[in-house]
Amino acid sequence: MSLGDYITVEQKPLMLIEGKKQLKAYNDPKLAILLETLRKGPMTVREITYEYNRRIPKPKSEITIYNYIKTLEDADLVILAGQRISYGSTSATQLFSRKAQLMFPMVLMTDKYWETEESKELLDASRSLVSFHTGEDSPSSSDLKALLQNIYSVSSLKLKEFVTSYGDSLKTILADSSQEEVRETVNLFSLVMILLEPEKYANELKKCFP
Amino acid sequence: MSTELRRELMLHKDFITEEQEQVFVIKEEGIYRLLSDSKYSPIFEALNHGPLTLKELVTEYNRIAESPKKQTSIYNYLMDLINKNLIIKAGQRIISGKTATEVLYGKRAKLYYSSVLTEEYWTTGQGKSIISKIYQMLNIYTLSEGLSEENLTALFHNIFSNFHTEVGKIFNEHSDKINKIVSPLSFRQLSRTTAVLNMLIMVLNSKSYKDELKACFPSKLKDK
Repeated sequence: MSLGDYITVEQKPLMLIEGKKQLKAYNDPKLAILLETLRKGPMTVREITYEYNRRIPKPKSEITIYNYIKTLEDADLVILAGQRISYGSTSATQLFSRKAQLMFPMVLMTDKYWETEESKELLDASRSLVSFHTGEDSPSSSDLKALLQNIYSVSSLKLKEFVTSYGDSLKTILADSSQEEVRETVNLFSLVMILLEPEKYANELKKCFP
Repeated sequence: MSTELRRELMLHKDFITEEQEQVFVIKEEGIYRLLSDSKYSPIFEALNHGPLTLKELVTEYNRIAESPKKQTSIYNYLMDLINKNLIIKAGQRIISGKTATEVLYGKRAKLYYSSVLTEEYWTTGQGKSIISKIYQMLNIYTLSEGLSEENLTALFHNIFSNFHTEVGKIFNEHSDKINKIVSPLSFRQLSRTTAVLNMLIMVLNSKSYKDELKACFPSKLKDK
């Protein structure tokens, strides 16, 4: 019988999901189920396993679920929130929770990304593919980088500003959305943000596709 | 003599009965996500260079995957992907001197492309719910008086129809070249490349959705 929960770390109302490690964990379908399960509030591993298994066809063991929790804890998406004290037991059970009630994925590539090796591979593939569309020569790697950097970085900053200024409203709007819905909503919202300010990237666009 | 060497010396012939498609367009988000699922993605990577038998696939899978899996598990994953029509039984391997043949498994297509936001998507419960949320967010962001869920649906419908038409054209006309460009990319890189290509097509074809954009944001785009 439970005597009560002793919560030592409170959930944040909102957090931005950024960086490769965090986004990778957030986008992993099996970990996403766990994050959605934890929307109910802090839970023990046994409770998480029970709720998780109600959402999937083939049940997972407590050890597997514990490993998922550790991966999410390592990505700073789940926290050790406190302990549950039970009647007649001298040991307390750990309680885990989401780090924040609303997790907002930053889907747009930031300035940092364009300095990585990975971005060079992306630029090369994109240059060739877009030339199939235009039927003209590929834009140079540096021109395309400047264009994409401009489109994504400007919108990424604006998105960040918007999310931090209107966190409470966003929490209400996205309260019943699944993680997949949040991701899609943010994706499409970002597209409109980009379309609304064509002058921000007009020069770079012209340079790439004269 | 090692088992591997003995295997190499054995004569065999592969009979391909089902050829790979060039491009397979996936219209369900859940199915597209299987391609990036860590338990399935090594299967796609292993089959990138052509069909394999189960035994070969297990060896390749465990070379690629972060944590090794038993043959039974990999076989079950393979069956999941066959049921979702992402992997096919491509043919059979006949080994000299043996009466039993081995099944060869292959990727259904050289390239998988996600096209989730189709015309029908905007009429589904999920499509409508997402539109309603973006509408509320844009209301706060732009305070635009022209904005309505209907106008917003028309805008997205237009943008994505344009993507599908244009990307479809590129894939059909240049599938072999595209395959060479994208086959070394990881799933994550391929998703990003597709997103960048969509973005470029969108900004290059602004005329095709100009009216719908203006209907949503009349005062914001007055002089543009």
